[in-house]
Amino acid sequence: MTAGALLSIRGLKSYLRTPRGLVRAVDGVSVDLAAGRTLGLVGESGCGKSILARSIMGLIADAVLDKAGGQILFDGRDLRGLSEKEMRRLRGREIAMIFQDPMTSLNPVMRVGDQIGQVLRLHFGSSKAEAQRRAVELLASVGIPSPERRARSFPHELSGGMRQRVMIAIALACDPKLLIADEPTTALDVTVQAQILRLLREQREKRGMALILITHNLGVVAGVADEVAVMYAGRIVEHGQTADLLRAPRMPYTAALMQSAPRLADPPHTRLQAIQGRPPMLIDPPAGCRFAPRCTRAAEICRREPAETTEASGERRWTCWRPLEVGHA
Amino acid sequence: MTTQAAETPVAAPAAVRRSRLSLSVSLPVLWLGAAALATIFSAYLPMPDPFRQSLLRTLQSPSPTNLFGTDSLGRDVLARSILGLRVSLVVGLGSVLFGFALGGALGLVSGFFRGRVDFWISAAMTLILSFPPLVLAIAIMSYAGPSLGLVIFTLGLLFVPAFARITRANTLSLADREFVLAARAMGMRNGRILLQEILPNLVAPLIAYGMLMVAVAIIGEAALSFLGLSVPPPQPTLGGMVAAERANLLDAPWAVFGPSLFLFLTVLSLNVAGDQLQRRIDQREAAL
Repeated sequence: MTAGALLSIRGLKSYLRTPRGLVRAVDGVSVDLAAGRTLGLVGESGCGKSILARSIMGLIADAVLDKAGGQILFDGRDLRGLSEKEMRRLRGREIAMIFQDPMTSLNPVMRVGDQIGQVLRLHFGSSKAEAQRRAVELLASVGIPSPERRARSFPHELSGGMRQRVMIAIALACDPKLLIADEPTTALDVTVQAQILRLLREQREKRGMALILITHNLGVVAGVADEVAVMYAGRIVEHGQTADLLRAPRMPYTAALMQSAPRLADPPHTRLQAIQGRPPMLIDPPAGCRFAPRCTRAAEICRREPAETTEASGERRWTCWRPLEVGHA
Repeated sequence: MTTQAAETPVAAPAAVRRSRLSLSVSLPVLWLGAAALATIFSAYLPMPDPFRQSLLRTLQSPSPTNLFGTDSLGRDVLARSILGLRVSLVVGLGSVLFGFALGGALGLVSGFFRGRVDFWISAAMTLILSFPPLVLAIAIMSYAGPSLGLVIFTLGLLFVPAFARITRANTLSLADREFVLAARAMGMRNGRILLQEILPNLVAPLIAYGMLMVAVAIIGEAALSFLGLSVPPPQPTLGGMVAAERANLLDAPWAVFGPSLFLFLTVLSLNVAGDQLQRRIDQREAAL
């Protein structure tokens, strides 16, 4: 849509073949991301966020993935059309990814410095000494104290926050244009979460890369993301600039998500509003709006027909038959 | 006061514990080390020639010149036992290395790629396992004729399924770990992921298991040589020596017990040391 978009996903469908049937994990997602911007991707577990991220990276095995349609345009190339070899050259170098659990994302029997150096040697053919020197620099740049010593550590000698910093150093090693962070702070202590988010924001600004931040925590999004896409049952149901969207959610699901998190401004003993039920099975999703079975505002039409997407000024979109009025939440 | 307290070295107890090596580790290692050195440098040991027969000195009881006595052809039992142990060790290590290399490679491939490859490899392994191992070994050896290379190959072949299964099981669980996904997200090729990410994580448990298998291989070789299906004479083998002298068991028990003692101590040492190693690796894995 935007001419200068670094990443432009058009009607993307990623279905997964499972023994119980075809799971429509990503079912018609369109989203754009300009260079140097941060997109927060929000939603409950099982709504397709991680599958979307792995689809971009091409990390889902062909035996499982049914590329049901759509395009992933990155820097003008359709990633879905690339061969595995071409994708490999892109992964880690132009698009990097960090994962939820830093405790398991590092190879337990390899020194941290070697794991960072490994990417450099892979993509730039750096010499061993050069890779090691860069690894120490990278460790320093992600705020690890005494990086020379830490480069020789094994992962089990580091704390969770340190390990996530190492993962970030690995991801940043080749100066990617796009970094996908899949729940990067979920497995960490709250104080460490804030540090990691600050680090991600700093590095994004310094390197001018784009960032996709996947989370189920709206507070995380509020602090870091320029724009937010809310995902539900394999689709993006609401999209907008972070401040606009959080100030005036239009889709009842977004509002419900916001109400299910505690806020400091609430009076004491305020009950949290949980969303009733669970996300639908994506093997056979509901016919109408996929949120209708759980929606407090659902009407006849919501259950019968898929909602249409309404576009408003300022890149604001929502997919709902009966959107909330501005100023509701 | 407080500064002194802060300077107390916290790591001291751990260091003390580490420096004390238990007897269950040091004794087996000592025996295996001595056995390895003696068999490698047997030519330089001050011993009678193991091949020289002397019909005037048959079945002599142990004495300062013949520490383990002599056999029915007047040959020195100790010198022959050392040469026999060499065969045992070479066959034990060789066949386990062969099984480790081939079984490990098959298990790695079958656990990592799964699907059809896995099916066929697993089927082949089950096929080998469905033969009684010693019967299979006897069949191969008696068909092709005894030789050192063939003993190593045959026993090694019997180890392939075990190594393949262990490697496959470990690979299956490792391949689903997030660091393998992270490696893929780095742009690594499958081959590289196998060799750099998965294989190093497999080596420790396989080495411990391999050590136990060396003991099994040594017993297997002894059984084959007892039947005359291992390395052919004049090369002495522990099993062959027992077989040849068993008729004189009452007159000259040393001719049977000499090689038996070597066999017993070596197998026991390998088992005890292997168990200890396994325990340590398990502890380390639990700590990770």
